[in-house]
Amino acid sequence: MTAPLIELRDVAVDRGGRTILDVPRLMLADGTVLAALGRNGAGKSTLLRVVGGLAEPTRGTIMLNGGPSTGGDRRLLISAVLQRPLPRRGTVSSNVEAGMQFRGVDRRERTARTETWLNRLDLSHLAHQDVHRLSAGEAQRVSLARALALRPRLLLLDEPFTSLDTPTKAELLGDLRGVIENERCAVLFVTHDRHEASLLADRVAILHEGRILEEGPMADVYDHPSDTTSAELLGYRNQIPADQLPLTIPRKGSTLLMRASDLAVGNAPTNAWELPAVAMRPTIDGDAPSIVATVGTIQLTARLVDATAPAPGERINLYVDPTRVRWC
Amino acid sequence: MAPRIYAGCAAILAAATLASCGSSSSESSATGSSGSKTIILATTTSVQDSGLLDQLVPEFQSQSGYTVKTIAVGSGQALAMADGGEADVVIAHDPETEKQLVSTGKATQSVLMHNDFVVIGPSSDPAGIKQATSAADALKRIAEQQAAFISRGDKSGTNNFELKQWKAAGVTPSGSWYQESGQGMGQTITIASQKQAYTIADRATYLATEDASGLAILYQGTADMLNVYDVLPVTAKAGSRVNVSGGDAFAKFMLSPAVQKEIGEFGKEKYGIALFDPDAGQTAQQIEQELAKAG
Amino acid sequence: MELIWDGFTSALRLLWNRDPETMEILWLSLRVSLSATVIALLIGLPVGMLIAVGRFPGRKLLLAVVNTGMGLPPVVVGLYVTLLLWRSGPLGAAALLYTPTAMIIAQAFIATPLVAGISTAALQQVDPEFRTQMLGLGAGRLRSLYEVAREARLPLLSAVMAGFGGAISEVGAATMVGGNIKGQTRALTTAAVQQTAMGNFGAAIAYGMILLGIAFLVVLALTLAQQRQSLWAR
Repeated sequence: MTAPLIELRDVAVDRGGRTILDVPRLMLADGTVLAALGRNGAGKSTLLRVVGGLAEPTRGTIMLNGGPSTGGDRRLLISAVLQRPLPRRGTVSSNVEAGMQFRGVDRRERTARTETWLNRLDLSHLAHQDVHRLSAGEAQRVSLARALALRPRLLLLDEPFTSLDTPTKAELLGDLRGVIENERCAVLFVTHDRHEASLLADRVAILHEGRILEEGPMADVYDHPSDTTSAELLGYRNQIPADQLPLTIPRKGSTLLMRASDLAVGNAPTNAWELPAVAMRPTIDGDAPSIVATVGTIQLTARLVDATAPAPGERINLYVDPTRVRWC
Repeated sequence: MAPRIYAGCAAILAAATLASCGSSSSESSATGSSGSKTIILATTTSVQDSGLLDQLVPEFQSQSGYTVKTIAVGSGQALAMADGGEADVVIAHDPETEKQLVSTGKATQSVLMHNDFVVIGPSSDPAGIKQATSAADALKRIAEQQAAFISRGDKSGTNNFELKQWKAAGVTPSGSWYQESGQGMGQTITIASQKQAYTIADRATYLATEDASGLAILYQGTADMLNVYDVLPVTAKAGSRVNVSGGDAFAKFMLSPAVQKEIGEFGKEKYGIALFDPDAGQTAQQIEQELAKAG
Repeated sequence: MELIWDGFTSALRLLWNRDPETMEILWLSLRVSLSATVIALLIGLPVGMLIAVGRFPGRKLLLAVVNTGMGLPPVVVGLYVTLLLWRSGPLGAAALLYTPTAMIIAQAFIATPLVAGISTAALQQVDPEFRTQMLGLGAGRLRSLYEVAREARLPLLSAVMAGFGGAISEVGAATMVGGNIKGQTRALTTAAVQQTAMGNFGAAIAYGMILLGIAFLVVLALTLAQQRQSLWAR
């Protein structure tokens, strides 16, 4: 068995007397895409910086290909795309060349690779444009081209889509997926958006208050969260402790988990469970019109399917497909 | 891009290094003390501003091989520099302060030359000092009329002369008519000119600034207006880094017959009269007596 | 009015005829002030960088010291440098007082806080994440700092201009530590003051005009460099 590209051992980062990252163990294999999913302030960016050698951990060891490494060693293998594009003064193509220049790639090679990557990210027509005159989406594409032209062993993506509007994000996300599959580089992708994570990543690590709650293959974790906090991050907004369940069904864990999209107000599907509830107020879940309702003392969010929003205080029924519920 | 900037930095650095090399090569002779070829001459501003030293110093430098650093300050400061061993030779015109310095053994004193002080002011002469009988009388009239008067107020030789005359007149000058400039002679004349005020100046500086100031000489020529310049080489007692032989050499040069003759000629071409009378070998009392006889 | 015009024409005449004394004074002023500016850059730029990107205890204090230094009266600098260089002072053995080197030292003291303060402000305008991004593209630590400076190079040129302007235009320290010695330490400013004292307003104005012209030419050259860079960027 070959050693993982990167392995963190008892790595911790303290800031201002607080531990903001504490990772006993985390591995990242060559060629895999690992998403670090968590809320703002969960320590995701710190994790990315420590892995990439852009910040020093307070304690712990980071192994590279099975041996101990310095930040400088790792910086030679990575390239990073951060939240904002942060271009250097100059043209689009001079920006794409910058990283290669830092690493001493010769001029002919630089020009060739720049051309390739401008092409692949649809930037060729902007090659001689001043970077400060690009749109946010174009600038982030330049940032990606600049990172990928370095042919990194490990690509670091720190919420690269947050500053973009939805259509631009969707387009870039699609392009990035193809590019990553092609390049076969390892990726550490930091995000707070489970949809982005599920689209790009092979594996996911759920970060909360500086700790990794769970880590595993994307599909497994996404579908079977082991912990209520990570379940919430993965979209299981509705969580009912087993002892408060208004249903008589077999218990397979201590908490019943349901996504808002799996809990509906309106027509009852066949074989659905029925939860009598009281409507509270309308809300939005993702893009979908939804309502907040109470079942006993527990607040739940449910989709409005072919129905108008019930008035607050109205008695309603919520329906859930038994195959869609999860336990943890 | 980057190499170009680096090259630019290198060029600037090289230029700076050249510049400092240039300065250090010309100063390299300045290191060391008693055997040094550099001497510091602290002189009263009036002698410097007259241009006399611009003529004599280069001659001395080429004859002796010394490099002279001429620092023009008030007599008070020049003598203070000698007291601290910061100067090697002084030209001053402040007999009282000079006497104190000589009594400490930190310098020796020889009369170099003289000219005279003049009271100048607006040609309308509002205080009527043209009719004064002595320097003290002239100042007394100014005080009585409360006519504007600008004092150097800088403990220079001229300032000390002025204060001595107020004492002789029995006047303690104060009030809005009496103002201290705290500046050198030239600037003080300019201020007096702008304010149409009286002031006391040495004749050389007055002549040098006459055209610009437009002020007139309103009292002059009596023996009590005598302005004697001395040359004072500093001794090793003032400090271990004093260039004693250099200071002595400069004093000897200034007192030599050839240079004394030159001093006697200086200014004739430009102003029609000599700015200074050479006095080597005489004492201040002898000069005063002679003047009194002639006057 | 007439005096100013006379001064202007005599300035042109002095320059046109390459009057040896004027040339000597001009060269000394340039040599001293450019050297002082280079020293100020060598010290002030790293200090500015340290304050702008560094995170260390005492950073705020250092910034306060630099900002106070920006208002340092030249006469105060002149006094302290003089005390330092006195024959009886700590550096008396070097016999530097009344030399161009002493003037360079004094002017460097005046220009360094200006350069440090303005470069701090200039470098702080660069996004703090920018350096991380450059490191994340494989720049070494020094290279990443260079990239931050490169990003701020237009405002950094202002630091150079302020440093040079502060150095060449000051007169208090130059007089005290230089002594205004003819042919040795007479600079444009000290010469102008002396000519004023002697009532030679024409000559004083001429030196003032030359000083103004030099400052203008240097600033113009740097401004053109700025403009060229930004034109080039477009």
